[in-house]
Amino acid sequence: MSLQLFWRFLLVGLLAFGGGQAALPLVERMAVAETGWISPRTFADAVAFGYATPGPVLITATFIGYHVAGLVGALAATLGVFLGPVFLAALAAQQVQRFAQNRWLRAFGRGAAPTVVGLLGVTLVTLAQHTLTGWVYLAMALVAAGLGLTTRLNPLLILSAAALIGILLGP
Amino acid sequence: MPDTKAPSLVRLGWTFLKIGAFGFGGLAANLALIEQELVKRQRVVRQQEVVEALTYTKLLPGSTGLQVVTYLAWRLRGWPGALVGAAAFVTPAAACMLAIAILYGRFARLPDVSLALQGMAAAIVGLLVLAVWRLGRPNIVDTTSALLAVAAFLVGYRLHLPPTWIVVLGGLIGIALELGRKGDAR
Repeated sequence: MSLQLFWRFLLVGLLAFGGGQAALPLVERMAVAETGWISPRTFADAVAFGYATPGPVLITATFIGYHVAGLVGALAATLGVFLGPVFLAALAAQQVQRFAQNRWLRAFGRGAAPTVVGLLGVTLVTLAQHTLTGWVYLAMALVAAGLGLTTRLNPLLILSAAALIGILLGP
Repeated sequence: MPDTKAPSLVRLGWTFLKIGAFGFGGLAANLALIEQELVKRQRVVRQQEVVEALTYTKLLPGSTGLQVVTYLAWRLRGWPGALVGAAAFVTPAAACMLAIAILYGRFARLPDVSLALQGMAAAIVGLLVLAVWRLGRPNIVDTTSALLAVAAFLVGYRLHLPPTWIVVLGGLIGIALELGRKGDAR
């Protein structure tokens, strides 16, 4: 299982054209829709923790890896998701512009990046169906989006406030 | 090429461990910390190099913040530096996440925790709407890219095609279009 975690996350990392957030829909499609490793709700929680912890959002992989296969799984998923991007970045530093500005790599990225945006839309719809179970939650999502767009509030703050509201609202 | 006044591997690892531990709030926060520490305080990296790192790594797949770290660490100490820097930067986040994952397994079903998580999940949907906007603006620039995004959405939503296939297919279409452009230009 850990081997599968490793190579699936390796693939996700290598296809994340557009940065860490671009990998989120790939992670969701892979871990929720394709393999059924986690539920949409657990994925939403994992992403929330990814935003709440320091560093890259893709650290979500550590959570999913642990959930699927314990400590070894966490290690395998974390290594997998970051190995490709780290290798490519070091290669770019070594070869400077020659490599990162390679015409065919850029052409590939130009075609791949819009599909990632489309897939992020699918992830969004799937998560909305499973998490926005009432008007209050829909309103919270809209407020979170509005705050993120208009202010420079730390996502950690928005998420903490949302957690508190969740408790106050009750079942 | 590694700098002559480059910090030792231990110092470099410690620096990126600190940046990794306090880089809350996405790419901008991490870049600000990197500049503060490496450009202003330690003066081992020039501002121009940070800009360069960002420009080139943005074109590559993967977490940009981590890639900027790797790029600069490579410039400072070559491949060992890149590996130590990247590992040090990710370690605090991975440790936090591991702790959360362990606690989650034990406590996620407690009533209050479950309610808090439900609230957070709702906010995450909102933050993902933003992510669509932020990713969409620079990447959907013409009719072709808009069509690719819509097609990926429909295929992803309706058919159970592995997502990696969809992205690779998009990339190949990008290359095919570039080949067509080459024919036009020359």
